[in-house]
Amino acid sequence: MNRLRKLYLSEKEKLKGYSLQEKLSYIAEYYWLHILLITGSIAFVIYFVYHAFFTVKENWFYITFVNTLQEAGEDSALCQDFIEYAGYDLSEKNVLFNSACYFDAARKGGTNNSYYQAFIAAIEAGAMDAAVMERDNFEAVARSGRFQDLSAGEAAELFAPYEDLFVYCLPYDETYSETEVPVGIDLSGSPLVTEYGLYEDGCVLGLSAYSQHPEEVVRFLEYLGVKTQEEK
Amino acid sequence: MESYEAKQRMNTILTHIVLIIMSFIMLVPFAWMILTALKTNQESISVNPFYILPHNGWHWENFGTVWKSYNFITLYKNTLLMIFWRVVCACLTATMAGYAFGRLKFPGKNALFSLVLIQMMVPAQIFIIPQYLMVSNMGMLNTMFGLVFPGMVTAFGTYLLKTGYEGLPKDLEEAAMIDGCNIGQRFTRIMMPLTRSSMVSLGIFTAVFAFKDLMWPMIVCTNAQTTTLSAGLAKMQGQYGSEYPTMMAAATLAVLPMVIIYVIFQKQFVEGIATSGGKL
Amino acid sequence: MKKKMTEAEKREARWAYLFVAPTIIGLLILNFYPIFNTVYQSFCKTGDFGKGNVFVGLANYSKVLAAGETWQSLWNTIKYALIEVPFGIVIALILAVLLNKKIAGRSFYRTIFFLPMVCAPAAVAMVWKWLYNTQFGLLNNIFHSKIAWISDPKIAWISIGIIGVWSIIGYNMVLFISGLQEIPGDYYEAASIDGANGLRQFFSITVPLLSPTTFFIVQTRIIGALTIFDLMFMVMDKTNVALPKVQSIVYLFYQYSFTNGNKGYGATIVMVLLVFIMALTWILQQAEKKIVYHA
Repeated sequence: MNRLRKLYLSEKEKLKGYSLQEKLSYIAEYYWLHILLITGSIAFVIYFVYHAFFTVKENWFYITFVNTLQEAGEDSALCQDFIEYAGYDLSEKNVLFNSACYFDAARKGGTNNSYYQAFIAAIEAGAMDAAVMERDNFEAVARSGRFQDLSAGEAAELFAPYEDLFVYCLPYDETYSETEVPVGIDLSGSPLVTEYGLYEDGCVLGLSAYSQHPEEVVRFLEYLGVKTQEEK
Repeated sequence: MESYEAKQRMNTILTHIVLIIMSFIMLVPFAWMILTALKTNQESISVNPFYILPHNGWHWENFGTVWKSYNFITLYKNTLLMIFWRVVCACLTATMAGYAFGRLKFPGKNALFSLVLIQMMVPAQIFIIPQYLMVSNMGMLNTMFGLVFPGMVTAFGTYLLKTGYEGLPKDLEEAAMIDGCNIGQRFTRIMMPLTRSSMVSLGIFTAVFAFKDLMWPMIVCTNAQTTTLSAGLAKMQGQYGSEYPTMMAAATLAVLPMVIIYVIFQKQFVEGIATSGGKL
Repeated sequence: MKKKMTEAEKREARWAYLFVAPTIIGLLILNFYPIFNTVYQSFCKTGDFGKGNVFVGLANYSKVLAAGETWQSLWNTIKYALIEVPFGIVIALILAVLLNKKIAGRSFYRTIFFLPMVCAPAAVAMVWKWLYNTQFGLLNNIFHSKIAWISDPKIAWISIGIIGVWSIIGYNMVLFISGLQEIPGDYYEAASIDGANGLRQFFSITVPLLSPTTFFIVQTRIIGALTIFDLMFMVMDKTNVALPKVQSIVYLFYQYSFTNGNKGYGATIVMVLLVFIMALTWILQQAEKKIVYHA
């Protein structure tokens, strides 16, 4: 602090007797970099604080539709109707419907694209709640353990009513299970999926391994009109 | 003397021949991209090598269709802003670190420099998930900061600039030292301007990589308003299936601003260096 | 060994730390946290079906080192590097030297050589597929041959290497041009007066003065080529029999970590690759002092 004070006093001494305009031009000449840096960092801090603390960032629900034939993003009727159905308040949290994702895990080399990397990142970071894709593709992805075992833990209770629609797969990890594990729910029976023409030959929904909102996934299933065993 | 001039002419002609052949080889995919954009869908998937030019008329309207179906202005703006900030951040941090590694002595220099090298030796895929979590925990998803974040520092650039600084003659700095400049002044007034050409190549590299980066914008910017060209156009696949003409028309439109910027900058680059080179 | 630093040396070190601080802090947060994470993962069996990491010691290492595919893909990657690095550098150097002359249309050529860098990857892939196509491919049409460019394991690695060379020339050229422009023009003038011709000038001026740039490119390209990821998949598809003979080690890592969800095993592959590249880099860095000419 002492050095700054000294600098201030010596500069003040130098500028004695100059007019205001001369003073300003002196400062602009010698301190433009300092001024630029300080204003820049202040602007950055304001920008950062605004975005980090005053914008909506949590999600109600985040779902990815892989290889859809139709747009099923945020602007789609599918998404808008679901928000209404579930009564989400978008000023509080977001709802994410992502349909820009294309890969085919069922064939070799079908996963080495950026879509798949982004997909895995969203799952492993715990951001994504559920994903929908074609059956063979789904089974291939599920083998890697990216979707929850629907017969274990909290998920078992929530998804028990859909047991007859379960899709099974054999995990790559033999220490987890040597027999097939239920990992997804067949959506072929959903009137909405058919109505919107999302997939040609049926599709499967999986609960992502680190999902924070499994109950919202159940709600989404109800919205899609997937019937539980009892309802049938 | 005449034979000397004849030889010079031969040389020039040979140079042009080599360059033209190479240009042709380098240009093929680009030409292909534009020509495909003008074809019908049927034509575009034919693999017959003698079907290079569009046969059923030149479909310029493909460009119009694509332009209308995307918000190109927003995408251009986001992409150029991201490129701008990444280039600024990369050049700034790399030139400072490069100067320190290339010209200054300090304890732990080799250890710190090996960090720079090691960063380049691991596959980039291992960074994705941790970096995404960082941006997400900061609450900066769907922002420009989120887009620029992984490009704020550059190991490649630091190494490049280090090489640039090492190549400069020693006496330049010694003269300044006698004049009583401190290290900061020596750096900003004398050394930094001399590595301009390295900075320009770093700028080109950073810009090209930022432009081509598809994965990062795709995961941090899920919102169409905040995403970049590469990720924005990636949505196209779904809408148009495998319609190559539309895809290529979009890719051509996406590349256009990059080419214009390069043309402008590389003129600067060539002329700027020619003058600064004379001072050495 | 430890002698006291003088005041001037201390000042220099303080400035140096200030200058490297942004880069080093950034690298530590952005890159080294994930790298340490990977090191840790390589000792673990990782999270299937939402479970966490389970420590397994060196089990992954013994498995990775015993697996034939690890060494096969490392060898594939080395073979790829053996094509890409030397040819990519020599061709780029020639082009850069030609473009550094005062010839007509120099800016035009430079722009053309820049274009492949920003060209849509899908277009690049299509062109190469079309060139290499066995039936309709341009190459087989020109040579009237029936060579299976990308499905014969004996040839495939060369075909892939050529794509690698093609895609890297532009980048190397930009670096060479910037290196060439930092060579003071008076050196050449002096040499011309002494009667040295073009080739002599090239070897006695350009080569030594460009050696720091060349070394930089060699070093970064070796690292780049050894961490090549999916170049082969641009033109090859699932059914290709040559695939095991060209797939790179980073692709192997990706296959385990991303596709199969076995992150511990994938992380171990990264560690093996890292150790290999580090050893190579160490040798190169030692050699630098002897090979590179410093002004």
